[in-house]
Amino acid sequence: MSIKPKKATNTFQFEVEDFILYILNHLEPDKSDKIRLNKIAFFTEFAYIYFNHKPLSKVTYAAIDKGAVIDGYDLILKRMSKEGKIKIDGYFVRPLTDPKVNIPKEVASFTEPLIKKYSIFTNDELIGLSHNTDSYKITTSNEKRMGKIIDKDLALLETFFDNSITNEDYTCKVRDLPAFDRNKLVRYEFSSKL
Amino acid sequence: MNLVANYNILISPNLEKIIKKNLDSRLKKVFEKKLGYFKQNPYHPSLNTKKLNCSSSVLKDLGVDEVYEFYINRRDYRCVIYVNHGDQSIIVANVGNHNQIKRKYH
Repeated sequence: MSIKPKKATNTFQFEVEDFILYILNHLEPDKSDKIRLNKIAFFTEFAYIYFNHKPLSKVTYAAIDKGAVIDGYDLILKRMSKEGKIKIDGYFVRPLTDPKVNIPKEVASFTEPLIKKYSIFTNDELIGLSHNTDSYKITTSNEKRMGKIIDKDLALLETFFDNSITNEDYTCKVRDLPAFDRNKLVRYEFSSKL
Repeated sequence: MNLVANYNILISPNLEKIIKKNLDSRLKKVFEKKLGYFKQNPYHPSLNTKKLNCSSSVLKDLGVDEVYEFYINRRDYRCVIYVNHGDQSIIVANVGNHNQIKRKYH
């Protein structure tokens, strides 16, 4: 899939429950389970932030042993079940309603291909993918500390979302190293803050 | 290697221009984030840092103590860093992808 980077101009943001319902409504019944929901929410939102530099939803994500998940997803899903918005059947979750929000066309056209893309992965593959993200590695200090909230700004590090960047392997050779006249060097000024 | 937070990050004005040319705004943000990580911890998990095996004569010619390379993105864009503990400086020696670096130095 190729996604053209495009700066979003809208101020749209999903509420937590609406985002969950939106994703569940796009999953095949046999793939509508808790792991897939959590991982697709994470990848969809982080890809959206990567390309648009703004959050897609009010969901917060936690880094646990099974990868990135919607923080407090179990409680949220139980509450939604009590409210008749979803049906929980063991590990499967099915939506009983649609999200109560008008989703801008540009948001839908960005997110729907992503949901489709990630829904074909197995749960183990999705867990593996989320373990390999910089966001997860940084939040867990390389899988040493679990349970912390993942800073959404870390999405900007996830360059694997960008298919336009080639993956040519390269190792810098010592012969390539340039020498510098130290008197001509200047202090590096950071131009951006994440 | 232990760096402390007050190491100066230095760069040549020419390389600054190259960075501006080679990196779009998104990659530049990632680069600066990772450069900040490197300053705090050269082996930060986000960096995939490699220490380059340079002979003492190469290091002497370059006038530095150590040479490192880290990923800006997963496989393509890299940053080469020189470290000089004596004057507590980090020099950004190169930034770009394989082809850009090849064109410049070969």
